[in-house]
Amino acid sequence: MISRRNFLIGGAGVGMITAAVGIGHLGPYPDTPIPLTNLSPRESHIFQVIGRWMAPPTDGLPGHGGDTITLKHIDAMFSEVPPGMRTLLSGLPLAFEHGPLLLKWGSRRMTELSEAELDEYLTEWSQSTLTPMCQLMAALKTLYGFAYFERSDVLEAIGIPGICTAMATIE
Amino acid sequence: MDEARFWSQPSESFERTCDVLIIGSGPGGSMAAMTLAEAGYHVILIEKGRAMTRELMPKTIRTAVRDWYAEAGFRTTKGNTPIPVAGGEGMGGGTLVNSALCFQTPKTSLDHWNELSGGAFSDTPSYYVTQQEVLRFMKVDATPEWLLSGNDKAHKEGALKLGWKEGNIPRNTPGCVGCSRCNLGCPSGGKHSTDKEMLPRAAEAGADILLGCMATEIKETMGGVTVKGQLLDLRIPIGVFTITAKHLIMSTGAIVTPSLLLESGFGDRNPHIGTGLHLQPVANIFGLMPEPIESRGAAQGHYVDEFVEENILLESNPILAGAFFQTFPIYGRDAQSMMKSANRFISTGSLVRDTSEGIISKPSKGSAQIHYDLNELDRKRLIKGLRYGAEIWLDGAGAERIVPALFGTDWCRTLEEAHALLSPDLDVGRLSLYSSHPQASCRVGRACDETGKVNGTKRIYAMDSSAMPSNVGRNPQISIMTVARTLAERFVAVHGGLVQPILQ
Repeated sequence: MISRRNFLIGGAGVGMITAAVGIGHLGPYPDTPIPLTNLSPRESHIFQVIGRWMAPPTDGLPGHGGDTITLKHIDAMFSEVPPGMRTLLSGLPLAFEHGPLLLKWGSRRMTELSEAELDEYLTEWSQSTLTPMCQLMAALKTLYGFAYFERSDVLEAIGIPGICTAMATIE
Repeated sequence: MDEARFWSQPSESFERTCDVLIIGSGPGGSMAAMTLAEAGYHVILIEKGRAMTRELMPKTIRTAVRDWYAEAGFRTTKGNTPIPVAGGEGMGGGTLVNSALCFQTPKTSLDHWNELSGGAFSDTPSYYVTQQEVLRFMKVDATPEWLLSGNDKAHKEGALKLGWKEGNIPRNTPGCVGCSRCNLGCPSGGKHSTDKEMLPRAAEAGADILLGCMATEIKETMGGVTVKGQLLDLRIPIGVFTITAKHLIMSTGAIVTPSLLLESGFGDRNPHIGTGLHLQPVANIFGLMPEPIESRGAAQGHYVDEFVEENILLESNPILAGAFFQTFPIYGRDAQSMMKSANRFISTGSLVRDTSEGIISKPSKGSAQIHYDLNELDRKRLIKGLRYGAEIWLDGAGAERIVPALFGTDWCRTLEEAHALLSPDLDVGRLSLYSSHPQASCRVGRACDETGKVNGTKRIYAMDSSAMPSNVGRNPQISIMTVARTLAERFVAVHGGLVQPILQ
């Protein structure tokens, strides 16, 4: 017996896929900028676009959230994840990529938005008080928190001794 | 770090027999292995993970969590608010990657355990004598003043200013040099995790410590227990093993112990396996000090137990820039500019001794299935704990502003703002929680008898955090060791042998 909740979730999923096919949300993605082990070209592209918005290039901090080093770190975080959890994790970038379907940019996927539109779109996510949106945004921030802000070059620039620094002091 | 090889990591499929097979090398399994090997049993201990040798010591937080935490750090509950549940995966289990906090079992908790278990630990003087020996064996001492980090010091100053009952946290880190990274594996060897002395002593007494061995199936036969599993190399299967033992001791912690028993079909005989899970959820509250603070020091060096009667414990937290970024309600360029002030960040965690009880069911596709709904009482306590956290930082330590770990959070510059944000009716789904202390999912007095034997089985025991009759209300590693020692001594009393003293 299908529960009401599962029926609604399933229905919404089918609806989104149908809409995505119908209005061109599906399509090719550029190859990954560097060889990656776990992320698909689509996931890699989505993470690059979000990362550049999440932690943009700025004076005083090296690189940014969409650069190849951060991408490599995200790729590594996706390794050795149990298969069930990997499936769930795959949904994270897709929720953001196809989120415009539910908001006012319906006809285009996130990675096709202009810089200003992207800023408006992700700001809407970040200011949402809807619990599922807050939780997805928090999950995304956790990824970048560890992939970018725990990079040793970034930690050094912000004045927190990284692990390696601590080890070097000990050794 | 002691690199003497007292363990082995099999690379070829094998079949073995022994008196006692122990699965898991955390605080419970290590204590059981040492006690039973020294009592004369031929013990084999298997551990899914590897040994954290100097060569394998993680260089980044990302790799530490991926390689040394259960399910690569992605283990999470399902329920009315998702809670990540940390667990160690390597020789030493949780003791390898915990913050080394070593609290005694509070008398109120022990009394509660006895109420629930029909007096399974009613000889309290004997329990505490054992616990004192465990504390000495684990080289536990209060964090010295010189080892307090800037975060610990701010926490302490805040508590003292508010007149709250507080203290420096007792830790098993006799050689700590203050690099504040216990949770990622101690690089200096200063933490006295179970791979330092307990497991070597078990090995010296004849125990075989086999790493990279993941149990997948348990079968009880007429004369013993057969455990089958996979040999792993970097989590990749490279072979299989079969171990037949007269007795099996499950010590894989409160998540995996019931999961594995249920997967092996023991739930049909014992409906209590996997029930009653406590998580001791923690809610963090971060802040920004006016000036940079010293980041070196103990990972967690200070606690406040003013609110222990409300089942709330405040503990200063390790400083992780990534964790701050995750919580702060800032994005884009604002985030970049804020993160440049990371050397002014402070953090405390509000740990609640929960009354909510979760359920563990059979694992699916390699992931533990944990259902846990936070109940009203615990929701209110966590909000209260966050309020106390706001108070210690804003009114005590003089923080410029604070931010509680909520989904959809905001900065607070005054206690009034904090109280408005942390209103008593705050939705449970907005609490951003985590847990490092799952307990009591295969309880003595419910799923197990007073020797730890799993009801409905003849030769299978639980001697880990799952066997505790309820939660401790504090970081549990010393309680787990004490419970495991007590149960292992009872095992010897039933099956024969001579228990050797913990302190030699």
